Amino acid sequence: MHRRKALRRLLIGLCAAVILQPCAASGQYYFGRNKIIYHHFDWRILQTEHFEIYYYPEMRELAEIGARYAEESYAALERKFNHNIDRRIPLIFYATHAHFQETNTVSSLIPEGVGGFFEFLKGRVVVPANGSISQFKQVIRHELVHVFTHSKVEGVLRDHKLMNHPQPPLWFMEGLAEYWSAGWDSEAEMFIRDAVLNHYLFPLAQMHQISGSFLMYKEGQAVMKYIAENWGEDKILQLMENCWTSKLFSEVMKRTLGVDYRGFDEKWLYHLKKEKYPLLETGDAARMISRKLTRHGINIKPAYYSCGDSQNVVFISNRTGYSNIYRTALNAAEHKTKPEILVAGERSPEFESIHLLNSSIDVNEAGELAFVSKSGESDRLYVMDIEEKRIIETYAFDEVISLFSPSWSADGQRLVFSGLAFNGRCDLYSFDRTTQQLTQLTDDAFDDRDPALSPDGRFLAFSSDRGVRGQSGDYHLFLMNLHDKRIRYLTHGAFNDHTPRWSPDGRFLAFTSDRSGTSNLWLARVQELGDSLSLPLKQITHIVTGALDPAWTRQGDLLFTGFENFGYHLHWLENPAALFDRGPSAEQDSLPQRIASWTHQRLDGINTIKEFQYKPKYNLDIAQSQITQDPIFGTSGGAQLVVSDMLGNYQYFFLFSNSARSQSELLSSFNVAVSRTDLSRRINSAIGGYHFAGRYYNRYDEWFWERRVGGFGALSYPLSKFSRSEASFNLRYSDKEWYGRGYRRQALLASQFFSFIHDNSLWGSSGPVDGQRMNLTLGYTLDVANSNVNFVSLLFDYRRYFRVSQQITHAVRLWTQINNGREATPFYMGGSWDLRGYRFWRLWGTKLALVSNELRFPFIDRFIVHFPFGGVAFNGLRGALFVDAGNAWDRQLEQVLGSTGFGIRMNLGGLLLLRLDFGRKFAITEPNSFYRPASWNMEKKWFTQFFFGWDF
Amino acid sequence: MKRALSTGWIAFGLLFSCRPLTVQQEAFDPSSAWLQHGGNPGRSASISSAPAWPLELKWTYRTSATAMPTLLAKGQRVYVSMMDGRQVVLRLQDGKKLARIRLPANTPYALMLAGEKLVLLRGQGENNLQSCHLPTGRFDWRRTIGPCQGEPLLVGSRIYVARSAGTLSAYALEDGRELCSVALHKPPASTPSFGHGRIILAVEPAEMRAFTLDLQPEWAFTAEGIIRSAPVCRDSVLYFGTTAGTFYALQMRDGSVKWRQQVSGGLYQAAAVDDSLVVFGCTDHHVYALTTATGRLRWRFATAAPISTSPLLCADAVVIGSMDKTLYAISRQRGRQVWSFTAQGRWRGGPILAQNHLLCAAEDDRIYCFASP
Ligand SMILES: [Zn+2]
Repeated sequence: MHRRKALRRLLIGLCAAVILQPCAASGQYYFGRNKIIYHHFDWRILQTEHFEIYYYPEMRELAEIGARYAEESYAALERKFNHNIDRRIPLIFYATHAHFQETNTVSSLIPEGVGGFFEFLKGRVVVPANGSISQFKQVIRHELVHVFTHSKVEGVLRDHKLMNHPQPPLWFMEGLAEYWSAGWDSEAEMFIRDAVLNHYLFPLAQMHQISGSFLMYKEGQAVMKYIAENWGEDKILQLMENCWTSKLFSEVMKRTLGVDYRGFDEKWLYHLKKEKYPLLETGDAARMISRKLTRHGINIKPAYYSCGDSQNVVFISNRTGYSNIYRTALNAAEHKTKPEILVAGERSPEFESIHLLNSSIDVNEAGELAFVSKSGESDRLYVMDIEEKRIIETYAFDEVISLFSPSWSADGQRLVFSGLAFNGRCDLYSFDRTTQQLTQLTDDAFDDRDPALSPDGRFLAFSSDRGVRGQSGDYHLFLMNLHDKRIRYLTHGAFNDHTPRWSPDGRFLAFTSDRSGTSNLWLARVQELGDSLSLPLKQITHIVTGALDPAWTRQGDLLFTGFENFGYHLHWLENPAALFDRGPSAEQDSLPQRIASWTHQRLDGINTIKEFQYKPKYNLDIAQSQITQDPIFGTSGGAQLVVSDMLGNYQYFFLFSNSARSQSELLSSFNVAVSRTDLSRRINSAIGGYHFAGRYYNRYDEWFWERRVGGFGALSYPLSKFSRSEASFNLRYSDKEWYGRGYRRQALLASQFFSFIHDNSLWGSSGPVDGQRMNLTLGYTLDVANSNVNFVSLLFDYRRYFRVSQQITHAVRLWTQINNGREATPFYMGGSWDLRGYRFWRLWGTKLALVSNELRFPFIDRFIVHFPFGGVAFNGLRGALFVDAGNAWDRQLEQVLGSTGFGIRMNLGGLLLLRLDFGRKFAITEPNSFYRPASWNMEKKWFTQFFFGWDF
Repeated sequence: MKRALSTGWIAFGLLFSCRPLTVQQEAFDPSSAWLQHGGNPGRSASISSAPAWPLELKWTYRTSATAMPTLLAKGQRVYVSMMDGRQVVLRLQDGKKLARIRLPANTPYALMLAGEKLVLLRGQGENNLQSCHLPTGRFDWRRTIGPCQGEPLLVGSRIYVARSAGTLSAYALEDGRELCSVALHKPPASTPSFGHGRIILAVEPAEMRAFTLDLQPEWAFTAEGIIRSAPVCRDSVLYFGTTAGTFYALQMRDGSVKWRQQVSGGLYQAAAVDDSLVVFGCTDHHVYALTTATGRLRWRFATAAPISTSPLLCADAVVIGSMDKTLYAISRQRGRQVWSFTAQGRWRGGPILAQNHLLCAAEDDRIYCFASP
């Protein structure tokens, strides 16, 4: 409905299917970033006819608005799907996105682009508000469409007893959720126009290549629109009802619509071309009417900055994968200078997130940059001296959780911004640098955004849904007289207006509007506004795809973001005021006299059944029988159970198995483990107990029998998103007998470990490409009963990724592990995880060390293998050059083993990485010898190793 | 198998290599009567007898998958086809399985009884229209007629089938040979019905068409919305509704509108009609009863979820199932609930009444049978 979403959700992964993907990080707990629980919410439940609404008292207003809308949506969807949900749907609300990021309903970290999700283990729908009620509602509707689709399709497949039948493809699920929640909006229009005009639209037959991407969402939405318009909406329902007829959705389409993917694509693409190509007759491409300033990545939110003679633009970009704030000269293209990083985001606790898509930045006359960033629990407002590249002021405000779009007064003494309070209301604030005083300018449930002070400091222009049309989600421009806080309309109609920006001379307001189908730049002449209700307006760009984020230069030019060819780039448009006077006469909106008062509908008209306090009730998440086959142990069976509460704060894990080989061993070989994890606080804790007994084998001890009975406790405290410290304690009775050696010992073992873990790595398609990761662990194990066992442990694993260029990374790994003392347990090494070229776990010892070096680079962008019956395309193959060296030893390191070679990596749908390494092994003998130089031996034979797993 | 032989009945299985039917007990009743969903070729789903409310659950039968919309009951036997492609024959008295029909493929079959023949139709695949002679268990004939939709319709000695490719075809009951066919130029949207000497079929999205028995087009009528349910014929009037909630009564002779009525929910299930009342359920949770003469609303009955079955009109009550998992009996005079039963799953298809036994299938994979205590 509103274009703002385009930016907010560009990096979307709205669906559980996407964010629940197994986390790419191998050893999630070994490294990994932290989800920090800052709040202990007092959860309540509001039971309505079809929902259980989870909320906390501070956000009662939002919960009631959400409850009402959820029931409304339910009624509409029940009819559209001709289906009902036969249980109450748990609907978990958060007042802000920052609160939502603390949720334990999923274990992975939630990126800023995720607007909510439906999780089908417990059938939970989790939705945050983030200021905009209309967006909150749309996400609720989107997720409820998922709930209905999932239930309907499951029902159809269950009817036919088809248990392992594939669900409809993701583009269908997400496209439908978008179409039946947002309909067709200017955001979708912009993306589809661009994809058609720039020839990158993926037809259905190739949609799997963009599975899960934002483009897939929008294309899916466009497919649904086309089906609805050409075959009728009922066919969408029939596609679900017929999904049992074939495992191939293309066949299901053939049966339902009469066309398979191919036939559909032919019609659909032809239709889109017919519809979109004529737009070029009257519309423009951004680069044709203005100067394009950037080339790579997403580049948005420009702010003008001049210093002496040099004219600069400061902007936000994610060109490296991290979001940073950059500066570049306006004429940089002529001098081929590269943008310079001013603020490095997403790597340190100070600048956890600079809200790439949600917040603009501003620079004042004195060259001071104002921007916001999440830092810990809430956002901070930073002021940076650009020339010195130094943060000169930092502000945090207790009453405001998230801050957006700070904007300077002309004198540089005041900052206005929009702020999101704990209760989820988004209002305007003004901050005076001299008095250090924060003033709240608006206070209501409306979403007030993009404030801009007039050059004379008397008026504040902003964008808001407070107009009467706000009920249907439209945003318009408003003007506040700061003297008496009176607010009046500036624009009004069935469209969305955003980001008003005053020209330096105060004559014009530049803003964006989707009046012409997609977002474009408009000018309003505000010079002689007075009390007059008419405001002359004119569209000054006619860019077919879209223009956003206007920013004035001192000379009266406009900088803006143009969307084109699936990229956001900065552009420079000279003298827009001249365009205002040229061509057809200006338009005018008919503005309402006063702002009619209205409020969002709350619980009125719906049936609330009861309200109560949340108490954890446990139910099953996962129950799986685990059958392990082992060449040494044979086959053993067991069961794993995980139960947790609705909010995922408390989890119990149960493990049962029996390793008995004969009837008589049955009781003594029972393996059981139970643990409880508490994630409800910032400090996470776990306690548990276990009994393990059985025959075991390892290369060090060979065959032995061991019984272990014990308990453990662990604590983990996140210092920031990027680092944490951990402590664990383990007490166990161990009875161990070595078969071959005729030796048996009993011990009461106590171990204690402390770890420090840091991780700010950035992941590419094959593994980390930037940042660093570290795990330092120290500990000891002691036999407290009779000192049979007594050793200390050290683990140090450090990985650093140096960006050689945009696409090339040099990765270094240093790893050492030492157990020293009596009955110190050995470590193993060898294989693709560490020392390549050697057989898996072929090397072992109580000490080990490894150094790895790897150069990671793009190898082949795309190749297609053709078979007589069709082709298979492989995308984004990456290459690597590597050198590994290390060994494991007990007493003395006698030899350093190593390997060097070349590898290819292929990402299989984001779930797995196939690695293929070729190389030669080498050995350096007597590295410690002082008298003789070390001798170097390179094997002639080449090795080849296949592996599924991520790069280190 | 042994037991069947010893009781003197023919064991079908031994006679044919494919062994389609396996009977464990009892033979088939050769008496002939038209029997299919809706009780007659007009699919009006009304019956003059009345069970004595309240009923008691007599038995349930656990099916291997959800049952197809049509349950057939004839004599002492109940024929059930399931969505996983299996079918069973149950004894009405106690729900005991008498026979199992073994057919290949896991696509479900729509069943139709024609005298001693059991006609089976499935939507796709080889031999998707076939006829089984019940007393012998032998297949009279099998034909591959291409993808088709809904249920077959028997009129006299002809079987009418709507084919997905957009034709309506008639086959001889005797040997399955195609007798005549008409191109629809659009996919069919319903199962065909018969009344007033005409075959009626809906085509997408919302067109009702009438044909002579030889499939000569007679008239066509375009409704508002989308037709998803079978048309119902009774006394020269045709009744049907759309998913947009418009309910129509058309004159069978020329397709002119006798009356129309707008309701607030959509119709996905067929209606039931007798002399004075037409009853149907909607997505708005309500059951509507209109007078056949003028379409005036007689009563409206609210359930807690969209209606999921077509109704059955008995002498004194309407029986209908809802997605709230409750099967309701509603007095036909005043629209008050006289009896109900709640299952573990949503009710499906349409209830049938056979020898004072009320049968209906639910999504909990059960066939429920109710009778007076
Ligand atoms: Zn989704």
